[in-house]
Amino acid sequence: MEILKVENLTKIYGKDENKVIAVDNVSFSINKGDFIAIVGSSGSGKSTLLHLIGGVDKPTSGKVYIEGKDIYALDNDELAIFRRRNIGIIYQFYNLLPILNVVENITLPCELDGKNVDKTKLNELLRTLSLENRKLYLPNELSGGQQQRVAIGRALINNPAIVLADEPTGNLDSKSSEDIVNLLKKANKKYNQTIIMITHDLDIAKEADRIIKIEDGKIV
Amino acid sequence: MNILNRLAKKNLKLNKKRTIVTIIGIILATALITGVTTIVTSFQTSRVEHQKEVEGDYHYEFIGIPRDEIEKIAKNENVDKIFVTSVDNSYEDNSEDYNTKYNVYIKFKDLDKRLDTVGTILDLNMDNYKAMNNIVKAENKLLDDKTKKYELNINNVLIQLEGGGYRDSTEEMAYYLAFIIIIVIVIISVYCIKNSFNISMSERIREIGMLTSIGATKKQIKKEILHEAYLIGLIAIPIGLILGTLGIYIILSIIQKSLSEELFGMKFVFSLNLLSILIAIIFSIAVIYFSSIGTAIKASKVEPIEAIRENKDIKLNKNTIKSSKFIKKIFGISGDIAYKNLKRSKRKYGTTIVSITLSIIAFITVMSFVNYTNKINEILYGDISYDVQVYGDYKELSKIAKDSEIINYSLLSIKDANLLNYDGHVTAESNLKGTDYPSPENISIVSLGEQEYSRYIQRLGLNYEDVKDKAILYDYKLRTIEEGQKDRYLLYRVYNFKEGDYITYSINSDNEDIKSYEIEIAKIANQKPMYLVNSNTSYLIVSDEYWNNVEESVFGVESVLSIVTDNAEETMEYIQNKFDGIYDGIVNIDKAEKERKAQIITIIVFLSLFIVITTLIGVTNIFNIVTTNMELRKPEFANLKSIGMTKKEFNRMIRLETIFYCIKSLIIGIPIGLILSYILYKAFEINFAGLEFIWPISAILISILAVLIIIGAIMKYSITRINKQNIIETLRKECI
Repeated sequence: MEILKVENLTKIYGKDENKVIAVDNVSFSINKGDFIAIVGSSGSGKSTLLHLIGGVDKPTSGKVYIEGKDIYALDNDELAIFRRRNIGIIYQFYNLLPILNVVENITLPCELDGKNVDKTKLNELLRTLSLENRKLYLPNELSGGQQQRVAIGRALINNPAIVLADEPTGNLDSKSSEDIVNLLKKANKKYNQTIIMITHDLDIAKEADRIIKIEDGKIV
Repeated sequence: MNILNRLAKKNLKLNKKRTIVTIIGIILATALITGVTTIVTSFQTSRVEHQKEVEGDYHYEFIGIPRDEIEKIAKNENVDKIFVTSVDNSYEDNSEDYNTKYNVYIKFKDLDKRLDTVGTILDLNMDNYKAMNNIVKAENKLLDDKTKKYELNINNVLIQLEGGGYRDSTEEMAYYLAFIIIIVIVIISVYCIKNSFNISMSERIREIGMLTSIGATKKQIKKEILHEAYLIGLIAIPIGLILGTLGIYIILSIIQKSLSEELFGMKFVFSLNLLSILIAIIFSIAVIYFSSIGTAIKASKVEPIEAIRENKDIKLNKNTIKSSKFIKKIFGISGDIAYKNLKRSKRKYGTTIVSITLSIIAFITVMSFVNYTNKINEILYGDISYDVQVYGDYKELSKIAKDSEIINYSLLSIKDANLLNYDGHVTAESNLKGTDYPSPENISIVSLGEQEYSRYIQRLGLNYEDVKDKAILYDYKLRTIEEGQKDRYLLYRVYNFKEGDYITYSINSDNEDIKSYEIEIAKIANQKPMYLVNSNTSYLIVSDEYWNNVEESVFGVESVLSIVTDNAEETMEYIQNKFDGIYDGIVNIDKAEKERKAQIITIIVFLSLFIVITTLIGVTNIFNIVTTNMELRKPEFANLKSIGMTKKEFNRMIRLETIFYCIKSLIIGIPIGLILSYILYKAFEINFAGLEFIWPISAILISILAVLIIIGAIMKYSITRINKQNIIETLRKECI
């Protein structure tokens, strides 16, 4: 079942001679349960593409359909709410709110929705992510790897349609990186969670089901 | 609890220093506003209490009421309070007089209905009076009504104070002034406190972007910031209310203790009412709301992508940070960087500059206000600075003046004269219909006594030899002219004589033939000599030499001996004992003068306090902004140091930045302050035509000094802190 469809997506920065075409007329689709890695060198446009898919940046032209919905047809508030419930994002740095503890950070999307937190799901996640003993810790009391795990937890708590991860292991040592990728795979298998991950590390990319290569804003 | 509310609380706790500074800012603003409303209510209550003390706590006094009528009056539904004194009647025919009359004093429940009540008591048809549609005029007419049953006295002042339809211009002025002051406080506070919110937001852009990216709506972000403001208000407003009220209470009790009631003309009592507290609360809430709403809206507009990229700051183009060749040449590379910094962070520094500018403007405006209040006081009451005045005949008073105990004095002689050549030289204004209508043919020749005369001509910039045979004409008069509802003061000249013109006058004397004298006008004075009050006639001031040569000068001349002394009481007693009988009157001016001065001083003290506190609000927030800006630029500084900028060059760069922004705020603030000062002048001039504009020079100089010192100190503090950092750690932190 098609869960993501990207149609003629283009993002251009600047004007005239300073024009940069970050994403150049990209089209592709992804099915539910896929674990995709997007690879490319620096400046290839992969982050931009991810941001566009996640509804976090506005495209110059083109459409993005998530679960059949044209996300750029929504107004700002609708998009925010949609993101809250259907998209989970993990960044390379600064994912967490430094003033909230682990549990609070993970449950943030639910709280924003005003919904009650599914305690079972939460505990299960904490177990899976090996964070049970660190429930009340603040981000600055956690290592980089632990912080990323919390970020993954937050991305997964609402059972979103897709999870987007932008270089989730970029800042971590090899052992932590391995852990993170394994966790993502686990989530993918266990919850049939669709994941799109950006990385420039081919070894990590190989862990995914499918690799999409980007160069100069175009898929090759 | 809602996650956003929890976030708000945590954010406040996290940045303790900034939260506290913001809270202090709001406490100060609230205290100031509460102070103003409390002073106004205290003032009003004091006036009422004073009037009750002076005149009595009644509205109407009915005279000669027979006993049986009293109860009837007491039972009237509009009579709130009643008290009765019996009139001392002489007994007729040695019998007990059962027809003792009483004076009945009443207070009305409803002042608006008093005409009817009075009509009932006086057995009078009030229709004509009510038809006048002016209860005040009606009352005045009532006093002359011969048909009323009893005589009465009306305690107008108390009625006025308690709202009986009289225009209480003092009260109006007090409310008007209070309102303006509160608006100024609100504007300045909002501007300063707004910064605190803005800063906290700029540091949290990442966080806000992150929240938005995981799905927080604009409204939710906005609400979070407003919630922070609400929490701050919850703590700050009550404290501010208490501080403001307490502050005024303390000030008023101190004034009551050390300066006695006489100095003010009334006891200044502390009084509070619900309305004043409510008004203070409303304005304080307005301060918080307007301070935070801008930030809340801005935050809600943050796009997640901006936060991720964090490029918001660097929206530069070449022109924004073009170097000024001038600056580079004079200040070197440090200056160049400093200048570029200023130009790029226009918004950040902009708010600092506006805070400083606003303080400068407030200061200059308030100082001008004080100047004009003083000046008007001078015009109305004269610059009296003597302590004892003795009146009498010139020759006799000269004896007192020559006494060894009398050292500092001025012996003024005034002789009435007739101006013979006034035709064609009278100004238009002196012909206006008004309350004081001097007749231009009357003029007074004044001799000030040697000492005072030489002082006077010196003040006017004249030389004794040049003017000793001439006269100085002072013909400025103050009058009130009725302009519709209001009265206006007009300072104008009676004559249009110029320097060099001649005046012909004659003096009434015992001789049959009236001799006429001619004298040249040496100068038209715009200030009158000390010891001379404004009166109905104009003055021709002459030297003693000239005076002694005018034959009729020694007869029937009114003289005033004005003495300056440390102990007015003592001096008065001395003169009364030693020179008893040779003078007509003696007055102790000291006391009345002290009263007036005290009132002015109080106004000045309150205004100064006000300036100090508003400046404090400004300074605490400038401190906030500057230190945070420095913090945010730590990596930049570390960078500069790592590529080899020396400590000296670095300090220089920061110092130059300070100077640039002090200059910028002064360049904007001083002209605006001047404009406001001019507007203030125009406002005063409405009531005092002829008032001259006073340049607020000292205020400007003080502003310049204060700005340089305060900003310099704050920056120095920041530099010392920055110099303590370790370069590489700072750079590292940026990447983690």
